[in-house]
Amino acid sequence: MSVILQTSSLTKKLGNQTAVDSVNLSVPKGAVYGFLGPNGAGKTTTIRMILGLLRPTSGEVRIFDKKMSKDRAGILRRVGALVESPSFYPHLTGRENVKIVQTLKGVPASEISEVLQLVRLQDAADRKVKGYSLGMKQRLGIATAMLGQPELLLLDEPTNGLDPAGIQEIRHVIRQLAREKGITILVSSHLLSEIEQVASHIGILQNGRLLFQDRLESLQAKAHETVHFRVNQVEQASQALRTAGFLSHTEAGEILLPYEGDQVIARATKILVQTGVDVYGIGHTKSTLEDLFMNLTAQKEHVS
Amino acid sequence: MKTAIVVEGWKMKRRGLWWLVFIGPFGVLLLQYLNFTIRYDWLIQQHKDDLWGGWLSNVGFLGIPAVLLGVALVASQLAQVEHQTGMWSLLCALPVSKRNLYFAKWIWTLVLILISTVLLSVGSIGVGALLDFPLDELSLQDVLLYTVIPTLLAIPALSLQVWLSTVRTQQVLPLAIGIFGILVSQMMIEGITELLPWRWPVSYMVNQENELFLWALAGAMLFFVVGMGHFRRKEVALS
Repeated sequence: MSVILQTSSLTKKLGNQTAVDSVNLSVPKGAVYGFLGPNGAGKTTTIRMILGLLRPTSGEVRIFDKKMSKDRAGILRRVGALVESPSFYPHLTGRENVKIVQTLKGVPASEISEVLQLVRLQDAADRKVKGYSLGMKQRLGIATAMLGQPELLLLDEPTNGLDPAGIQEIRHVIRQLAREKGITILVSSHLLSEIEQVASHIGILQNGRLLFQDRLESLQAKAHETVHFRVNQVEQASQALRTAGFLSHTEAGEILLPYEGDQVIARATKILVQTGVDVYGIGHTKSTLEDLFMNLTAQKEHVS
Repeated sequence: MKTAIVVEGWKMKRRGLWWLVFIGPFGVLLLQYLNFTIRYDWLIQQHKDDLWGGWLSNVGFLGIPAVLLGVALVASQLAQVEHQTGMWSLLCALPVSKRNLYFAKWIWTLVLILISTVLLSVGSIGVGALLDFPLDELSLQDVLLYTVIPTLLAIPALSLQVWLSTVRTQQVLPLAIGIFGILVSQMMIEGITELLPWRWPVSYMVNQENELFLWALAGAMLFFVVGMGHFRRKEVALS
């Protein structure tokens, strides 16, 4: 799979602070790349450098295997972007706003209706943007980004400030664009849950550093499941399970075992009952990607 | 380049900027008309050798600060629509050169001010006729001297205002500098005032030194080139 977007040692210093620190992003063709990190991690700064809005302190950006610093206009012709929350020209209608971008991009006017339809704004298109909801503006932003049939789409926090229905809507649009049009998409968010359903790849940024970058599945593989036992005699139960070869440990008065299939629960319960321990409850939890994300980011916070 | 200019024109829709273009010359002419009707006898006595010259110079002296104020307001208004909405980010991530975006702002500021100026020129003849000044004594050269030429000499100030307004997110400083420039150029402080581009339209009306055109040309080009360079190099930060 060829790489569409690559940054090498991309660094941005703002004053004496390093906002983005030697980031090597690699977004393969056709990917929906979830660019994650807590607020203030440097996601927006990175995206703005990718688009040439900010100049990197060092490092470089390559898109379609061309240097951004050398061929800005040529690259941007094939890129669509949604940066920060665009508020558009409030005194103009949605259609007029799209027309401005369409004219500046130099693409056929017939695309105006197409992109408005794509984000389902055709009915509101002739109303002034002043009266649009946040979600509508966000969709208008995606519509303008889609002009000129871009091969790469950069969406910076497209779900920011939206209600659950709006988030769902944006997610739907992203999925549709990726599946039906085969567009490579980089979408940033501070919430993993918002994009884990659409992303094929994940990059996690924390304090300006890229902590993790891989396919979503390899992140999921790091998530693990646990079985909890609530019993009357914790010590005795733990002893018995360890003797039987379980990797048990105690936490908050409960016994925890790694889950490796249902037979683990069955066998462990049998041993506990045979040992004479009263079992009050059995639970089964899966650490979510969100937990993993929190762990990854929290650990690094601790180190630095 | 053409598309950037055309698009800049669309953005002015429904913003009331065109009102500014009409109200400026209308206000100047109205005030001078009242001046001449209220103080008719005295002013006619003052200018009895050259009624048109007297009328037009009065229009000009009020017209110049109005034009300069218009320049500051228009430059600021045109830039503010992007500053307020964060649209610079969107525009600058399009395959359009920032040079073209900047030039579109500059040329529209100039076009709007020129339209105002033409309205002032034509209106000054009309109102002069209304005041019963004999049309056969009208010197078109005077019309140019007191309306069009001051505007041409205001282009350096215009280039400066466009520069300040496009690079500053907050418009307080560009407007304050503009107003300060206009006020200071109304006074004559030897060695300082002549250096201010806001003074040049008045200077020419008073002295009619042709070398001022060279200075103005140099000033306009300098501010334009430096302003555009600054805008192009400037990073588009979050607004």
